[in-house]
Amino acid sequence: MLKISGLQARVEQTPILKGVNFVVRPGEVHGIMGPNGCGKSTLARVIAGDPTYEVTAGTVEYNGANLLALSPDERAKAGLFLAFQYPMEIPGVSIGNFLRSALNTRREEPVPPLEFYGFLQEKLKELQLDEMWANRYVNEGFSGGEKKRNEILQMMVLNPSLCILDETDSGLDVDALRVVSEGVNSMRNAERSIIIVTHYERLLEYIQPDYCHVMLDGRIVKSADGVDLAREIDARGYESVRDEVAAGAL
Amino acid sequence: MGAIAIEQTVANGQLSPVEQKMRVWHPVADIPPWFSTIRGTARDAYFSLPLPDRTNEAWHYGDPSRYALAGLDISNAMPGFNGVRYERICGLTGRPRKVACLSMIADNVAEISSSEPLRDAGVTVMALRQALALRGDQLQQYMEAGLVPFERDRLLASHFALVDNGFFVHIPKGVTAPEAIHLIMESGEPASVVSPHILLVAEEHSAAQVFIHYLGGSAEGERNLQLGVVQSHVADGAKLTLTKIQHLGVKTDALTHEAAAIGRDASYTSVSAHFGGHHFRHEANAQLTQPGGSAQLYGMHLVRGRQRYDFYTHQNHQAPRCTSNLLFKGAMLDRGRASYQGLITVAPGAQKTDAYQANRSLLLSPHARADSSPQLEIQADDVRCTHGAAVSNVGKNEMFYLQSRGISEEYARRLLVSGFMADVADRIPLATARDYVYNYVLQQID
Amino acid sequence: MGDDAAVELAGYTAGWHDAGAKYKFKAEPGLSERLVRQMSEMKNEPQWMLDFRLRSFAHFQQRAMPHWGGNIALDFDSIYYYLKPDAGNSRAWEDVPTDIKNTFDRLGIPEAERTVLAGVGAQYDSESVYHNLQKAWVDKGVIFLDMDSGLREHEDIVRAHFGKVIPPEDNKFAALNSAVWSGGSFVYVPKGVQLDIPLQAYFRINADRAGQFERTLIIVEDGAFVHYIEGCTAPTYSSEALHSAVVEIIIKPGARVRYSTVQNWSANVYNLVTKRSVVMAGAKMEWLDGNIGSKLTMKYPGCVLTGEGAHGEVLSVAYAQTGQHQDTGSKMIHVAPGTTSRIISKSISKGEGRASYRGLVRVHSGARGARSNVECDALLLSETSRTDTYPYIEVDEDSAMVSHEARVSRVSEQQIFYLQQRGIPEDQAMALIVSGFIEPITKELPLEYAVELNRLIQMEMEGSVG
Repeated sequence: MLKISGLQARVEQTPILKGVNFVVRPGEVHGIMGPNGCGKSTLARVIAGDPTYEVTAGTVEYNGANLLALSPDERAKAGLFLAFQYPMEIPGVSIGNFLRSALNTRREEPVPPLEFYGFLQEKLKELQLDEMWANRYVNEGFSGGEKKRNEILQMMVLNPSLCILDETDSGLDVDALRVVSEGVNSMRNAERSIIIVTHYERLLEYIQPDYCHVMLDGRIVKSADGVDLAREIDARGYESVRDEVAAGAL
Repeated sequence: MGAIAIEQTVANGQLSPVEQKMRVWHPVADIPPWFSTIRGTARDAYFSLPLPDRTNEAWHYGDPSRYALAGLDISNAMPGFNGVRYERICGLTGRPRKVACLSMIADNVAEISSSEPLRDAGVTVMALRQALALRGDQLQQYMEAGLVPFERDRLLASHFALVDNGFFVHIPKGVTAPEAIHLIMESGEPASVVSPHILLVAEEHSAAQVFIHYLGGSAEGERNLQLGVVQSHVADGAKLTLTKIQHLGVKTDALTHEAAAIGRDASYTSVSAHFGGHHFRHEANAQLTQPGGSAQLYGMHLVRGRQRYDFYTHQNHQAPRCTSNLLFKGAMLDRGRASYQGLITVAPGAQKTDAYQANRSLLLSPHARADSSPQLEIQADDVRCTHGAAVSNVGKNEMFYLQSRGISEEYARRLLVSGFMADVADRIPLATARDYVYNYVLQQID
Repeated sequence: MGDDAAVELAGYTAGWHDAGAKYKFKAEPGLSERLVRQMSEMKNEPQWMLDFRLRSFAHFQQRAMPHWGGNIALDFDSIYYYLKPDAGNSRAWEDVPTDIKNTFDRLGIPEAERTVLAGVGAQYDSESVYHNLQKAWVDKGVIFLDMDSGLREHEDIVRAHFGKVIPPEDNKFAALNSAVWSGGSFVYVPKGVQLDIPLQAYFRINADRAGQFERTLIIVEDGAFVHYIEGCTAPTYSSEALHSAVVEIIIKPGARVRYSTVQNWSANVYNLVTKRSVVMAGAKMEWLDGNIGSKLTMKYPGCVLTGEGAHGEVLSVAYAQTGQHQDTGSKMIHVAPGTTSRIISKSISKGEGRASYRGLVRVHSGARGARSNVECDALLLSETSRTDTYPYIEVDEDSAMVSHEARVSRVSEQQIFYLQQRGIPEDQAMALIVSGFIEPITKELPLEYAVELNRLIQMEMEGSVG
């Protein structure tokens, strides 16, 4: 579904991604870990089309099409979803209104309001959010945890084919983490792929990925099946991987 | 053209003694010609311009006639070491005094103390007249830079037409002045006008702390006028901190104009406390013409009796990535009135500007009055600009809280007012001066 | 229903007018004492009104233009000040002449809607042509007429209040209006009557150099309530047009008035309006002001809070794009104790547009415990847009609490990206953010106006990014 080759990107004049190669097939769940500054969030944002970054080399193919040629909204309509690390506040725009507008861009006919609100209430219940949630303004005055849960809510409503979660676990307490993980797990199926970018191993225990990867200095340097790699990092830190790279073992 | 204007004014009415002297003034040999040109141009402008009126937005609240030269003459007083003044000065500057301290009254400057470390560091602190004679070339570029626009402003023109002396402070490249510098301005005798001019120059990557004290004359007799200008040129990377304490006598009216040209990544901080004078207008102009500059302007004032204060400030963002921050706070008692008008201008292209302006007033008696007009003119979009103004009395809840802890109403009010002033007063970088300010404020509240 | 489509969003450019409009009397351009007398005579006005007009005209001539605000580049001598269209003032829809009916059709007022409204007043070139008042309101003693009829049929009430809230000497354009006013609404609501359906009026400029000088007087007795809506649309012209209205409102103790305006004059119109209400004890005034159109609007809806506990509020939205200057704000004068005021001003500047807030909050000595709060938010949508804030806060009462805050911001790239990542294209994202910005005010407007406002923004945002 997603094929990234030799991707390089920079912000202003500073290069961040220095040649990323990465493949995701339908139905797979991938975890990407790495220390601060390794470029994992950048990778997530570059895939989504964040204008802050400039792609300097490489290709990104999404279901055979050149993703880099599409504007962020076109990528979204093609099925891409990014759960932001720092979700933006949109004052005065209610969550209900916002989600309905987003849904309507993907449909021939606008969704009837009653049908939409019924659907939304279901999702709110699953994420243990109260029914007045839809009237709140997007992320305005939200705590960090509320913002993250709001991202997952959007993901569940918009039904994407490729979900990228950018440090969704930061700012969540144990209970919120469990609820969010259940929400993400409920979306796993054979057609949908999920990429989880995270600093800590904990989220990956809840959402057992098919593959784990480690990023260092703008490249994916180590990959393995299942969650073992994540556990290894948790035990021995990123330095161990860095040593392996230096020793030429990777 | 100037001569005709003068003659017309003469024909139209009586000139005051000082205006007559202005009229007949001519350049003298020991003053650099370029300085004489400035004085002459200012004199011509004075006689051809009208007093500003309300159509001039900067004078929406103030009364320009209070700063006119009617009935005044040039002062002849000599600065001296009279005991009371000396004590007061030491109270402000602290002991022992190893600082450089100059005092000025009328056109005469006296050195009260000097500082070896400053001299050794190459820092210049001298009378303006002396500087004009010895360092004329160096002063020329700053004085001619046009930082203070007197050609269009009759009141500033009167200052430049009369200016004869003042102070010149110069910090060389890369030098951090090891001691603070104290400059003392005294108002003149009754029915006189003084026009002191202070020029502060901080070269690239230098740093200094300067204190300016405006001290008052007698409490009797006719009014006198002080027209002061302080202009600072802060070069790239330099840091200048200015603290001004104004405690003029009750018979003095004063207009002070403070302007700063702030270079690339340079910083200008001005903290002032205003207590004295009858009609007092203070204008502050921060010109951020180079990227990365920063201007921090703090002011506090307390008016009582029938004092009338009037403030006009301008945070002028002409270049990107500059920061400016202004906080002016005032307390009004008796029939005191203060007005504040401040403008933040952001020119097109001055992106990433971060500008803030706040004016807060406490009305502490039924006949007190506050006017506030914080203004914005923004022509760049990637900026952060906010301003706020608030007028109120001390909070009833806060008063009740303090009283419920056994504090008398009178003392509670004092605590709240000094608490109100704290975020400005605490920025005064000298303990003795800070104490002076707090003591004064506390004494006024009863 | 082809005409409806024309009025629909795409046709909002409103570039149409009735080419063959007939006028009974076409005055020559320019203003003179003779014109003022002629006008008063044709309207059959009482002597006192003629005197009032003449006194106002004299003041207009000698009064200086304001030295602040926008740039008023008008040639007063080339404007038409009075035109009387070819239709008598009627009370039944059937009696309205055909071209005027056509105009209403194009404005999108289908017949069915009229039964819902209490009454519709339409201005067609300086004279009201059609007014109707549902019998129900008439029985309650509510009067809703055009101003000329109001003067004729209720002279005593009008005389007692006309020009008292805004005297001709208030400013140059109030003087102009006082001299050549024509049309506008006269509303009188008796004690205790609560009008739950809004009163609406439509205005329209329909000739070269036609000026609009409508005069509205609203009197609301103790404990009553009325919501008055003023919305206007004007075709685009190449020559200047001047709209200088005066609205006076008197709110007696315990009464409440809400006055909503969505102004969308074409881009050549100078919209210089004086609006003020006197608010008595325990009464409430709410001004809702939406300024989208015109070349220059100078408008500062104000309240004089004369009674204890009176409350005044202004919620205003201004949108300025290239070639436009919206200079709007409010005036709140606190005279009595316990009075409160609140101003929320939201402005949006796009292209080279300029949106300025100009406001006055004055608290007189004796207005014990007065409270006022002003919030101005400005949104800049492009590098060349401009916003200004000129508040004046004057407090002469030590027990008052007055505060003012202003913020300038822009739509960040990251906000747009966030919405795009949810599939919303760039200009729709911009429109959504801008709608959210003004939401605190649009939520107070009647639904159809909120919808109109949001649709306008949607249109304006197309092509706004970059």
